[in-house]
Amino acid sequence: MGLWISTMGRSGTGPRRRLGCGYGIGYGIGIGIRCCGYGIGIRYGCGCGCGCGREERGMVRERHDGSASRRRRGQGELEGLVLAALRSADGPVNAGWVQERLGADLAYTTVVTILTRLLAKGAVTRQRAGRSFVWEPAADEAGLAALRMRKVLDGESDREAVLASFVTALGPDDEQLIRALLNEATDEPEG
Amino acid sequence: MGVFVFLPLVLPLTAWPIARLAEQHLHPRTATRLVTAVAGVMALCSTLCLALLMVVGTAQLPGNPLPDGWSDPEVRAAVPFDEVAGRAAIPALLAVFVACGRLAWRHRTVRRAAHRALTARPGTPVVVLPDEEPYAYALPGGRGRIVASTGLLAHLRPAERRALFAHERAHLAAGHHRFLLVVQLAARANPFLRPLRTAVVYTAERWADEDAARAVGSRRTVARAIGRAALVSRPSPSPTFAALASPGPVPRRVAALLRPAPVAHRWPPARTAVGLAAWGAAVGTAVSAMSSANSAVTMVLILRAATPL
Repeated sequence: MGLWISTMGRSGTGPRRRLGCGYGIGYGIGIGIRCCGYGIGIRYGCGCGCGCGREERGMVRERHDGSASRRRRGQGELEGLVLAALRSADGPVNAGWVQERLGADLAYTTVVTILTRLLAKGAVTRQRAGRSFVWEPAADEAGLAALRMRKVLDGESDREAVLASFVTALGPDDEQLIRALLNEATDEPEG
Repeated sequence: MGVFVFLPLVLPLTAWPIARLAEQHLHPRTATRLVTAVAGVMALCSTLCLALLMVVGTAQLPGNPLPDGWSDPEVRAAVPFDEVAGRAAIPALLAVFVACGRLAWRHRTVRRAAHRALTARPGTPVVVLPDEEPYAYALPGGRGRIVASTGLLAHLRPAERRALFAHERAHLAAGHHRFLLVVQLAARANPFLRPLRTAVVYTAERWADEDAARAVGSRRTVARAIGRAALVSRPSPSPTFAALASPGPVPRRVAALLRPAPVAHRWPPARTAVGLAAWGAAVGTAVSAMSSANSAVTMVLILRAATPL
C-alpha cells in the first residue's frame, strides 16, 4: 500500500511531501480516505514509513506507541508545546530535557522529529554540543503560527477562490486611481 | 419542445446584464442574495438539463446500462440531435461533477489547514500573526476566526484597523463564504455563470464594507483602510490588456464608500432599469426552472409508463 500511495500522490511537490496524511490518499481519483486516521489502513498505509511525509511521521509514531485510543493531536499542537518548553528553558537545552519537561508519553524520537521540523521552519536553532545538539527557540508561538499560515497561503495558488481576502490584487491602473481617491478621502473633513 | 430543451444551458447568458445592473445599482446585500440565488437555480437547472439529455440520448445506444425504455422514441424526437447531444452530455456532466467536487474539497482542506495553523494560538476570535506579507482573512468554521498579519496592520492607523476587523467580522457574521461557495460551484457547473461569480465576489465585499462603515461610524475610514491595504499588498503579477482594463474591484469599492450610503429597497420599482433587471432575472430563472422541471416531469412519466413497477 505504501507503494500505491506514493504512486498516487501529486507529482511535482516531492515524493514525500503531503502525500497521505490529512490530504487524503486518493487525490488522483477523488476518494477521501484519510491516511493517518483510523483502521487497518493506518498501520499498513503509514506503517510509519509510507509516503506519509516527514511532517506527520513523528505524530504517527507517537500514536503507534499504544495511544491509539487517545484523541489525535492536532497538527501543530505538539510543535507549539515543544516550542513553549524550549522558551521556558534558561538557555540552550538538549532534546532529552525537552522530553522530560513535557512529561507526557512522548518518545525521545518524537521530540527530535518535532525539533527537526521546527528547525526546517526556522522556528528553532541548534548547536552541536558533544555528541548531540542543543536547541534554542528562534521564533515564539505566534511566529510559528505565522510560518504555518504562510505555508497554507503560499500552497494555494488561487487563494482568493477559497478565502475572502480583505483586498484583491490591483489592476494596472488601479494604483493611481486609489492614490487619487485616498487624497480625496484624506483632504476633505470626516464625513 | 425542440431546441427549448437546451434552454437551461444557455439561459445564464441573459443573467450577465442583470448581474451588472444589480452590482451597480442595488444595495450590496440585496444584490448578493439575488445574484447568488439566480446563479444557484440556473446552475441546478443546467446540470439537470445535462443529465436528462444524457439519459434520453444514450439509453438506447448499445452497451449502455440504462433500460431502453428510459429513452422513448417520442422523447427522442423532441430532442434535436439526440444521440450527439446525449454523447456530448456525458463528458460535460462528468466535468461538472469533477470540477465541483475538487472545489468543495479544496475549500475544506484549505480552511482546515488554516485553522490548524492557528491551533497553538489562544482561542481568541482575532489572531494577529507576525508576518511581513500583508494579508487579512476571515476564516469561517467553528466560531470563525479573523487572521491578520502585522505587515498589513503596521500600515494602517488605529481607526483603519478597527475598520478592517469590522469588515472581516461582517464576513463571518453574514456567512459570506456560503454565498461565495454557491456562486463558485455554479460557475463550474455552467461557465456562462462566471460573470455572476465575479459580481457576487464584488458585492459580498461591498456588503462587508457597508457593515464595517456602519460599525465604525465612518465611510471614509473604511475607504482609507481599503485603499492603504491595497497599496501595500502585492500588485497584480500580469499587467495584460492595460488598455482594456476598467477600474478593478478595489478602486470601485473605495469610490463607492466615498459616495453616500446605498439605500436598501425591498424590491426596486418596475419602471427603472434596476426594476427591469430584477424582473428579467426573476422571469429568466423561472423559465429556466420550468423548462428543466418540464423535462424532468416528462422523464418521470415516461419511466412510470415504460417500467412496470
